[in-house]
Amino acid sequence: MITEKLEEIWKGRIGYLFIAPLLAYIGIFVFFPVGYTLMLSFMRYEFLRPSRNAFVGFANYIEWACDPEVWHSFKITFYFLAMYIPSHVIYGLVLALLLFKVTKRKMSTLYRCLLYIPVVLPLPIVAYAWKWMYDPSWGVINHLLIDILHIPWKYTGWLTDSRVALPAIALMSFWQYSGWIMILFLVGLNNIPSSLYEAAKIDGANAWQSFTRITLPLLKPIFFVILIMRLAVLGITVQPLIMTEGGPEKATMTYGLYAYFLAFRWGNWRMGYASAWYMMLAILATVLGIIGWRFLKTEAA
Amino acid sequence: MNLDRFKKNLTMSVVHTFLIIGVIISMFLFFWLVCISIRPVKQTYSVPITILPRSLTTANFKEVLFELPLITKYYENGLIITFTAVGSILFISALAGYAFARLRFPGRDIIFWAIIATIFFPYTISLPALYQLLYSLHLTDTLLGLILPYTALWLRLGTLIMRQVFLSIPRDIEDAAIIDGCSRIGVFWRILLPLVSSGWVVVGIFTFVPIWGEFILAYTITSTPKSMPISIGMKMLEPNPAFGEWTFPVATSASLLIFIPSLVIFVMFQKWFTRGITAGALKF
Repeated sequence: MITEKLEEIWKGRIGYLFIAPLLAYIGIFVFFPVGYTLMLSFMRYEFLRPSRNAFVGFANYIEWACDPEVWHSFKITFYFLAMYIPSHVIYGLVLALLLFKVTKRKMSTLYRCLLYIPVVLPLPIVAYAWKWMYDPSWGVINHLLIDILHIPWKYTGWLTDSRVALPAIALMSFWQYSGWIMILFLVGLNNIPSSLYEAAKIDGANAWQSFTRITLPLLKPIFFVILIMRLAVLGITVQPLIMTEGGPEKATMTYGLYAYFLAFRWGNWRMGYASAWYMMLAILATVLGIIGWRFLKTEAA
Repeated sequence: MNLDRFKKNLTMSVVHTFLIIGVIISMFLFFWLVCISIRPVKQTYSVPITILPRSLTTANFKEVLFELPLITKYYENGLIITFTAVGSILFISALAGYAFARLRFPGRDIIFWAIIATIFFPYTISLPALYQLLYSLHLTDTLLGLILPYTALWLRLGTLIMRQVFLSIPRDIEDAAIIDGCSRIGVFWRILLPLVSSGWVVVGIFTFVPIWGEFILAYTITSTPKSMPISIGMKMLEPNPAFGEWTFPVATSASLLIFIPSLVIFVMFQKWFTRGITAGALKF
């Protein structure tokens, strides 16, 4: 039995040889850190004061469960998701539907490229540029709203006013990633056979009916891809780090940013406790992913 | 008949109008950055604010390129890191993609899916552990300390795409070569690699874009200009008119210069972006 297994492994040696570099990289820089994070989460581990490091069992998780900052930062993260995810999915879908209408014209490639460009720009630079556009005295957004469009806009301190700072960051993300959603939906729309629409037309369906009965159900796989790819947004850190550093008054202190500050900025760099925060985030992402998968699967069936 | 045509034309003009509005929104950031960067500094800080420049100058770009000595260093670091990481990814993901698509060995699918499953978690969750790993390897604040994790993190996407590409090549080609006396490695090297160059383009563009723009890991690992890539260098250029330091025009010129590699890649390979999404994201 064992010799058979070994023989099988020996026969596949070229395969192992081919994946050896991949395994080395992933093993060292992906799997090992994940395992190490799990271990750290059971330790009192302060990077700048290593003398007190020790295993403490579930103490970090208990502290996590009692920490009011957890719920505050979750709330901020979910406000952000609630503003950002639906809006950019709907806008991306609308753009894709519009583009699909002109798909045979020459202009469509140009439209598609220009609408997609924000996606390929480096995120930190875009975040800085938006920060400058939001500048209350010299930025262009207030100028545009108040002087040009004559909208009586009151919240001019975009990133310094706790009421609009989070929406301002969501707006930036919306702007940057709608094009990506658009391309995904465009791929999905191209995969729908046009005969279905013709059949629906013969049966007397109007445009809205064929959209809700044919287009949306057949785009289910795309919604699934978006859901899976957007799970990473639960850990959003970079945008608030660059634009507001969690302020004003913690109004943009997302879960990921708080954990990052715990590990790399505040006090003695409490990496153990921060790892517990990160582990809980990973668990949450897994649970949401599975729920979303189940939901979309049963809906499609 | 005429009414039908009129209706169709009307729909089309509405569609075009909305698309043009969308394009204006997407391009506005660019437009503003360009307008700020090509005007003299004084104009930016004068009331009333205007969007369009009243006079033009190249002084801001000159200042970024020739008077800020570190910016070129950051830029160079960014290019070295990105190109080395993308190059390694291209090579390793081709090997691994071939193995996962074609070769048989125990545990193949389990290994593959275990690796792919980790893509969907934000990589920030293992940041403290990764930092300690690099610290104990004496790799913090070095270029290699960024190249290695970047390669590992985006290798997963590369492997996913390359496996798909190898699966799409008909098996007959290889079988014929093996019958003619070509070894497995010879088949890979002489016959398959030329066929998957399209896959390499897709892997290249889809890893270049995020690595060139990666922030959080670089922000954590680097601490001196010798290893900082340009995405971190930007922080030094943040405009702070209160201290009379860097100004909007200088910062916007720098950010436009940082956009250039992304834009070049995008314009050169624009049709591959759609194809790549079809190949990579929808068929796993």
